[in-house]
Amino acid sequence: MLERKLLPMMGNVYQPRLARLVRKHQLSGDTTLFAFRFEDPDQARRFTYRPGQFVEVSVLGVGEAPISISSTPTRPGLIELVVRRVGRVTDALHRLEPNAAVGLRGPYGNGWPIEKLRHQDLAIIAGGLGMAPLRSLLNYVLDNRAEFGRLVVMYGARTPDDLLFKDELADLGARSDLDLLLAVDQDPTGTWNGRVGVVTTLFEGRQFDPQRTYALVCVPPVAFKYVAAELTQRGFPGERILMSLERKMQCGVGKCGYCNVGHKYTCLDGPVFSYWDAINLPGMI
Amino acid sequence: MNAYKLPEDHLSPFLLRLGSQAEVYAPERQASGEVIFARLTDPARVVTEYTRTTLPLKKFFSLPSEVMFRFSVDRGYEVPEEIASVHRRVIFGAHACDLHALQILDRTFLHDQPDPYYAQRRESTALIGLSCTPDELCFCNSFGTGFVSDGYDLFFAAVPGGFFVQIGTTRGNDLIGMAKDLFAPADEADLLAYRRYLKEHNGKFTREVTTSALPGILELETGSALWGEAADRCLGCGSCSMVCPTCYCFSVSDRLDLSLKTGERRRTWDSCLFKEYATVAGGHNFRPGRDARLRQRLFHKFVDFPARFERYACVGCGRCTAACPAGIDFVALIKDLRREASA
Repeated sequence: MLERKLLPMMGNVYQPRLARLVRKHQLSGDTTLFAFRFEDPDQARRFTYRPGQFVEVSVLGVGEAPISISSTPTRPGLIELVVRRVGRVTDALHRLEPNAAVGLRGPYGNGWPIEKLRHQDLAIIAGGLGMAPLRSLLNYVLDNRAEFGRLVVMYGARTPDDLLFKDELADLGARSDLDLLLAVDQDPTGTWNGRVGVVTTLFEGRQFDPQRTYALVCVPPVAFKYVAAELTQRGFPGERILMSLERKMQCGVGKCGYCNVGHKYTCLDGPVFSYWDAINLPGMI
Repeated sequence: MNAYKLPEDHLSPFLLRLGSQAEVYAPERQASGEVIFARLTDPARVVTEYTRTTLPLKKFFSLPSEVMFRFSVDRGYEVPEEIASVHRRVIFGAHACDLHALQILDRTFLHDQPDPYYAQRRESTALIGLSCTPDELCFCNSFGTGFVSDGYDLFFAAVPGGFFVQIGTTRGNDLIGMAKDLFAPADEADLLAYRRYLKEHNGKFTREVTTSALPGILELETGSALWGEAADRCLGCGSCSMVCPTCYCFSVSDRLDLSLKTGERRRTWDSCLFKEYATVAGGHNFRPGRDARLRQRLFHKFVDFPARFERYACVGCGRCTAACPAGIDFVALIKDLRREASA
C-alpha cells in the first residue's frame, strides 16, 4: 500500500517552459516590446494562440506575471509581449538582455471571438497600453483582410511619446483599407499635428452601423465606462462592445481565486468580456 | 445495506493495522483544548467525540504553504521529487461537513484543468468519516451537509458499544478486508441502532439559516449599511479564510537561494480580506474598502460560487465565527441582511 507515485509533470498546469529573449525594442519611456522563443523547438512549433489571449511569464527568482500577447498567430515563430515597467516582475523583465532565459506558460483566456468578427465591420479602440492585446487582433485582421469588413482603428495615448509602435502606425496610416485615428491627451512638446483630447473625441463626425460593427476596446480601467457610454449612445448593443479587462492574477487557470469577479474568472472567462457581461458583474468596470 | 459493526475496543487495533500500511491521521485533543488532525502515534490519544478541528481537511490537499517548483538557470522549473512523491494516507475521523467541503474544493481543483498537487494527494488519501458532536455554532443542516451519502471510503457512526460502519468505495471495502477479523456484518439490531442514531443526530443541530433565495437576497442587499458595520469591526486578519474548509485562494511567490542561481516557487494560502489581494502593479486596488472585501468573501460563498458550480460554498461548520477575533458572527450577518431585505 505504501506506493510512491510521481506527479505527472507533463500534465502540470503550472509548469513554465524555458524560453529565450530573442530581442527587445523600447516603445516609449517605460514600455518595451519583448520577443521570446521557446527553447524546445517542438514547443516553439506547437505553440499557437488566439489574438487577445495571454501568457504567464516567469523571471527566474523574481516571480510570474500575466501578460497579453501582442503578436499574431498568423506570423508564427516569436511570441511578442508589450510590457510596461510598473512592478517587480516587469522591472526584472526590463533588465533582461537578449538570450536571457524566462519561463512561459499558456496561452490562457478566451481572446477576441474571431469567428463572430468575420465579415463584420470592426472599430478597434485602444488607449495607452491597451494597444498590446489589440495589436494582435489588428495584425490578424490585416493578414486575413478579405474576411473582415470596414476597419477603423482609434488609438489614444497621454502624449505623442506614449504612442506605441510609431513606425507601424505610420505604415497603417498609409493604407487605404483602414481608417487610423490618433489622439493624445496633451502635447507638451508642441510637435503634435493631430487631435488633442481623450480617445472618445475620435468618434466625432464618424458613422458606424451598430448592427454590423463590433467595437473592440482596451483602455485604462477608468476609461472603459466613458468609451462604453459613447458606443451605447451610438446604438451599439451591449454584446457588440467587447472589452479586454484586467485583474490581479496569479495562477491563470482558475484555481488561485485572485481574478474572480462575480461568478466569472478573468483568466478563464476573460480577459475579453462583452459590455453586457461587464455591467452585470459588480465592480468589473 | 452493505454495512458492518466495529466494537468500540476494536478501534485501536484497526487504526494500528492501518498504520502498518499507510500514514494515518486522526483527531487528537491538544493541551489548549483544540482538536486537530494529527499523525497517529498512540491510538489512545484519538478522540471520537469532538465538535470541530481548528483547521479543516483542506490542509492535507492544498497545503498551507508548499513548494511547487525548484528552479535553476540550467534546468528551468522542476517539481522536486519529495513533493512529487506522496505516501498513501488514511485520514480517520472526518465529519460530514468536512467531507462535503472537500467535494466543494474538488469543483475548483479537479474541474477543467486539474491541479496536479491536489489531485494526486486526493487520489492517494483514503477518508474515514465519523459522526459528529455539534455545538451552538453548527448550522450544517441548513446546507444539507450534516449527513453524507458519498465522498468517503468508510463512514463510522457512533452507536452504543461501537460504530456502525458504511462502505462508500471499493477502497473502503479493501480497508475492511485487511482487518476482517475486527469487523462483524451488521445485523438487525445494528440497523435499529443506526436508525436511532440518525433520528437523534438530526435533532442535535440547533442553529439554522434560511437558504431559500439567498443569492437574490444578498444581491438586493449589496448596498446595505450592515456590510460597513461588520467591516468596521473586521481586522482584515483573514482568520475566517484560513479555517474555512472551502476557502481555497493561494498566492505564488519565488524565493532565491543564497547562491542566487537556484530557488523555489512556493504557494501559500491567501485571503480576499487582505488589502493587497486585489491591488495590481501601479497601485490600483479593485476592492479598496474593507466592506467590499468582506462582501466579496460572502458573495463568493453564497452568490457567485453557486452560480458557477451549482452549490453553496459553505458547509455550516461554524469555524469562521468561532475563529473571528473581532467576534463577527457571519450567520447573524446573513440573517440580518435577510431581515432587512424583507422589511
